[in-house]
Amino acid sequence: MSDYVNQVTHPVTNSRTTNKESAIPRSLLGSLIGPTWIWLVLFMLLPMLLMFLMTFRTEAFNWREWEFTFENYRKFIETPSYHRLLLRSVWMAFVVAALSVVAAYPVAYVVAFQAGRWRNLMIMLLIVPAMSSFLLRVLAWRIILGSSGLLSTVLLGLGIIDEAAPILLYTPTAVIITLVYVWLPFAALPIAVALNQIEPNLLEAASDLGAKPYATFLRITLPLSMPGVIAAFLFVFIPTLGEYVTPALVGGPEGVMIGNIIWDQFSRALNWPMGALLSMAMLLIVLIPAGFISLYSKISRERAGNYD
Amino acid sequence: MSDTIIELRNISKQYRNPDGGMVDALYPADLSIYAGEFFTLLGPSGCGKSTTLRIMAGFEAATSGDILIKNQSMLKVPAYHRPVNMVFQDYALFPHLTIAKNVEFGLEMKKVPKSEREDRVQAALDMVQLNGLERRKPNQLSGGQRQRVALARALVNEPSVLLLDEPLGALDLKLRRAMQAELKQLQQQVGITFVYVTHDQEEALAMSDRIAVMDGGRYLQVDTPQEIYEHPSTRFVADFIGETNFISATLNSHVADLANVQIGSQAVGVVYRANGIYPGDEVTLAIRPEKLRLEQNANGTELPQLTGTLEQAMYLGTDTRFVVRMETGESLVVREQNQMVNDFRPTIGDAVQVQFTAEDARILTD
Ligand SMILES: Nc1ncnc2c1ncn2[C@@H]1O[C@H](COP(=O)(O)OP(=O)(O)OP(=O)(O)O)[C@@H](O)[C@H]1O
Ligand SMILES: [Mg+2]
Repeated sequence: MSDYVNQVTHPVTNSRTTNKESAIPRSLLGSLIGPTWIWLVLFMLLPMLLMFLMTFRTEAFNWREWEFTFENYRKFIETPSYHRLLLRSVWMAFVVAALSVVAAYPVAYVVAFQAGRWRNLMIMLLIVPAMSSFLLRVLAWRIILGSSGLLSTVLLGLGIIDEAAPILLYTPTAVIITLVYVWLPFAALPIAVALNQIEPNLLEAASDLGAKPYATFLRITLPLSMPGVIAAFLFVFIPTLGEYVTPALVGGPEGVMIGNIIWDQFSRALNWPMGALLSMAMLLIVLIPAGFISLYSKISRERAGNYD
Repeated sequence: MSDTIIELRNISKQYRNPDGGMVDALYPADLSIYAGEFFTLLGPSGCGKSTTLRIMAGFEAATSGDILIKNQSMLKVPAYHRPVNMVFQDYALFPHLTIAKNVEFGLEMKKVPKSEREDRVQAALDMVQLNGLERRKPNQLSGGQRQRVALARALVNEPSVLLLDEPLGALDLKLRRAMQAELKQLQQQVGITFVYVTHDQEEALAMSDRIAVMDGGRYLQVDTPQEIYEHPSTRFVADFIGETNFISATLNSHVADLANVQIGSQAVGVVYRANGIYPGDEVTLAIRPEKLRLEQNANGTELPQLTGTLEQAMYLGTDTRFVVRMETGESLVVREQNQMVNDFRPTIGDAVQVQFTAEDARILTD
């Protein structure tokens, strides 16, 4: 086993070992990597392939009759409401991700730099709500935003509104508020980790060189925490794009997202091919920014090396 | 000497431990640093060197006392407004900025115009011989090069005082020696006051105009390298700087600046500088190995001398290191240069006389 590791990491130093010795590790290599590949093929690639094939079919269930068609693609291209929906979903996911990052940054900052011995407690407090049911937390916002809810009652009491009414409920804004709330802890953690890795003496050095606190933040802290910010953004953006529970519960007709339509296609309309196509479109949308970011960070890592 | 540029008045520092207890990192003390000098804080790990430097830089608030830079109290002046710059032990270069941007940082913060900034960055990089590396990132440089960048980044701001916290600590020995010479030359060239932290006594002796020897949060002795080496004020200083023989003795008598001490069965005369000791008191004699000479027999010399047996001789090239066991059981280290002046070459086991000049032995009372 350790031979095999050496073989991989130090091919030169092991060049004098005999063929017989190196033959065994090679088969070992196959058996080690094997299960992972089987796993990937079985549970990732195969379902994806099936989904992809589904987009060229007219109906889902009878696989004996195979009619290859671009009909779904034509329908997708010709239906503007799909495009609008996709666009709106991307926009909402973007807004939710951006707001989550903005809201999470100060929390992460306090956890990383100012919490001192309260740090672990703060991280706990951040995570505990995330352990309760996702559904519960979304429903809680229905109560807050609803007609007899907290927001309505307070505004009524202040005389700002005349009769109890749902405030913001069943709008895209409600979806955004709810999701920002839900994702905040998940966005805060990667940012806190990134901030925590910044050497404190870099901040001292900046201050020593005449940088006032806000300049130190803009020039040193923020750029060095960017990996965490990007991770947090993707953490939120990706699941939000496929979100369908929250829009269904608090979104109303205007808050519908692509996930709701995909859900409809699979469950109610039983139009799996169209559902599959929309899913593929969504996947593509997620992959493009993720691909760009990983490419970008690879380039900047190659230029700068790791921040060590 | 010249003007005082940094003055610590009754400065002390206590840190609060996580468990709530207090750590005394610095006991209340005064310290003056003169304009243009190379001042070194020397002492073992944890003695408070970095704490002193960080109070000067403004990263740490003193528990008591005042700190003046150019005659102005710095108590309410934040680090980013102090006329000092720091070179950190691990350099603290900004990893996401190029070398040029790192060096330019301080000037940008002070809103120096772009064209002047570029000139000064170039001049600073020239000074540390790093031109051509402007576009690299810190992690693409060697340790010695990073060290130079850190220097350039601080010096480009033309600070009144440069604070250096073990700047050569991370370099290998050879590079370290080379950089010592370079740093010293640089300091003379730019004429900026250097406050330098090290725990390497050789480095301190070689580079400094004055040294503060520290231990356990106190400044034990603040003086020139020569004074500290020749006239250490305490046993700790004598022991920390160079090699020293400590000989237990009893004071017999003293007249004016001459004392007579008893070492075992022998009485010898030494120079008396200490205060507050009386005949009969236990004292320690400190004497450097190179101030001792070996003789075959007690020739009729006036010099103080001690009798012993040669136990060890180690040839070290330029000199030879002898260990002599005295009658009292204590051993002495003697270093003699390998010139032909002394034709006496004792062999192990020989009875020998160890001679010295009364001037060279110090009486320590602690
Ligand atoms: N932030 C802190 N909290 C608590 N104690 C501290 C803190 N910083 C330093 N100390 C303590 O103060 C004392 C002096 O520390 P300082 O860093 O000044 O030592 P030093 O002389 O620079 O040592 P070294 O050569 O190891 O760098 C040490 O006992 C150290 O443990
Ligand atoms: Mg230190």
